[in-house]
Amino acid sequence: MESKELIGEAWFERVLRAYPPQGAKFLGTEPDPFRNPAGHTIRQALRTLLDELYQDMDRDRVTQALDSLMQIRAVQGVAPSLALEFLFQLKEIVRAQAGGADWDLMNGRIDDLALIAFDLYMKYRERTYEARANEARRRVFLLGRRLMADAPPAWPERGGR
Amino acid sequence: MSQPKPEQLVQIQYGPQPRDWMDPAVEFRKGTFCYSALAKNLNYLGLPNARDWQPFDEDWKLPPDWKRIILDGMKERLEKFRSFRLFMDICVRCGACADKCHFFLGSGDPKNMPVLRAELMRSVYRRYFTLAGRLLGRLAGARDLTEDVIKEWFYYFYQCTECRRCSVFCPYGIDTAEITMIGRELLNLIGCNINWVLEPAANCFRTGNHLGVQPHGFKDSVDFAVDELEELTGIRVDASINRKGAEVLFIVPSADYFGTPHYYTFLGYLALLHEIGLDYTFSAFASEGGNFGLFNSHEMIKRLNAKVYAEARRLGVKWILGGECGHMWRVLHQYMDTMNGPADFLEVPVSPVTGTRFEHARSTKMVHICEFTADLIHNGKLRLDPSRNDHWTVTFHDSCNPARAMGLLEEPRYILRSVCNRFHEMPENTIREQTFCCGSGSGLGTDENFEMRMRGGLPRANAVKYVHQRHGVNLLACICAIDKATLPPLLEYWVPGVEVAGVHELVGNALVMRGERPRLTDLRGEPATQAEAVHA
Ligand code: SF4
Ligand code: SF4
Repeated sequence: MESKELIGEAWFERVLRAYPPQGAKFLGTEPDPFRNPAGHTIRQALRTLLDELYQDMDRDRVTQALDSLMQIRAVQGVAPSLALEFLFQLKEIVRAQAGGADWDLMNGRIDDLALIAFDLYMKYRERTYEARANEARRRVFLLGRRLMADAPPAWPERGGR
Repeated sequence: MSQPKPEQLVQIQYGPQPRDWMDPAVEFRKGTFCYSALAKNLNYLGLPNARDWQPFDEDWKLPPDWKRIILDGMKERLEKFRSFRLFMDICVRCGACADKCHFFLGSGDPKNMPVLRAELMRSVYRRYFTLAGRLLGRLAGARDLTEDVIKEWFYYFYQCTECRRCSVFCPYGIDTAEITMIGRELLNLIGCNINWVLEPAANCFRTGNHLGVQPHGFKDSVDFAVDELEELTGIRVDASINRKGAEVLFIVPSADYFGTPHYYTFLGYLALLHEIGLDYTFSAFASEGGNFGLFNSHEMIKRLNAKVYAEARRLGVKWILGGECGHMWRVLHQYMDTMNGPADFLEVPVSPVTGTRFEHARSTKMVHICEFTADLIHNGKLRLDPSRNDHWTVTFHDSCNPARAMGLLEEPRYILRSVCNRFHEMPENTIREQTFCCGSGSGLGTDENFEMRMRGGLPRANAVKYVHQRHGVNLLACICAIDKATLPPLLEYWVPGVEVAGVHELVGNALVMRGERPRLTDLRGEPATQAEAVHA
């Protein structure tokens, strides 16, 4: 298991390289989850993914981990290729350690993760569009309400959301 | 040629090259900056260099002598504001502030560390205003003022929400928000400003509120709210406008009578002030608590704020009550008295219901509605049924300005604990003085800047997520109009399932009014969850 931990550390370090060095240092070292939400989330998610890669690939757990990563990456101004890069970086690291059948298995599993991650990235991009549209609606809420003053009071639909 | 293997493909080095912070080049990527101010708004406010341009243009069409204007402007402000000179001189770069900015935490961009944000200006200060900088240049941390530096200032000074979280941690009390403010002021001198700040300011100048709602529109909104409140409670309240001789002038942020969820807080105010029989009036000309001048220049703060006192004088009120707003209170506590005060023509506010004299407001003559309501509750003047808020499990977001600029920490909590049964705090290092900004304050809450706002709001949302998962929190209460506009999309993105409300919306729900009919719904019109208790 020691090698798995080494892989984990190497992977985390590679992922942080996507950030400027001064920023990466903080993201990688500050342990308080509230002072360092991004770094903490990334570390937790990578740990879960690695565990699952070496075990059963529990779909719920990997999806949840990828979800938290994509949620952050989807608003960090990077192209999808960059947002998913961390999985391909893992391939490089694992390949240096594993051989033969093991490598084939891992390779396939990482590809599966990439597909899930891509869907999640899109989910969060779409969510930004929805949130923007809803925000615009909320801003002029009362204008709409006043124009519809004669409409029957369908309270729930006239609520804040 | 054979196909490259995947692991070969990823040999590409994506990571940013380590760069010297002194290199000012920035890239204006969509989603991470605000659009420029429209020429018509600059003209309206009499600001220089009105023109068509955008931050992503190569040529910003600066005035030919832009460099002299900026340096003269710096010189003038170094002489005028002692704090500015101090902040330029005394930073020891200890780094205590470095990891305290939500934009740094969400983006990992070192120039969002407060110390570096300030250094962007400090380096220019050194170059032109200190001997060491003039002689030694880069060695002394000094940089030439170039057009790229102007672009970089624009990018990073409009990527600071002036929240002042960093200043809480600085052993020297350096307030990076003040440096940002000066930065924006200087940019203003050469016409580099953003529309989301200048349009509200121009509107406010013209009609008395950010939205440009004219007096009849204001009246329509208030009347509409009065009607709806009657529909909900069976009680018709009297909300007068421009009534001379009222005891109190009530000033609210304009979003309260236009946006949601603000509007429900507005209903809450109306219910409360009716129930206690306060003799108050609104002004259709000072129909805005907020002051977007704060995000623009000291001069603009003063111009917009003056309306509040002018209307108080015209209407002949005794004192002023202010609604749930953020930067309105920063302006009030830190600037109003010096700029437009002292308001000698007003009286020290006294609550007509409890007799409490609000000594702390004896100079400005303006009381925060949370102070006012907390006093009512403390003196047992309100009948409250907190179970009417049982469909909410609530946490409280300290809005930066009321928390850090006026120390309003206990009153809203005291009210919340009185009007709801389920209340849970977020982790300690994310609330009170250490509260995390919504990520969209100081005029940055624009649509085009959405991505940056989501990054900046991550630390706040992350703490909300924690109490959401741990305690089932489904409502984030706050007392700032910008928060009420920007936290809903933030949570929609990061923590779906948590709504946003003002404190006085919950007060309005819990308030048992004399003669009311059983409440079938809350102020949002959503069915009351509990069987209505009998309040005979
Ligand atoms: S905490 Fe204060 S002195 Fe230290 S680096 Fe930040 S601004 Fe400078
Ligand atoms: S005032 Fe707030 S946004 Fe600005 S640098 Fe400080 S922490 Fe960051």
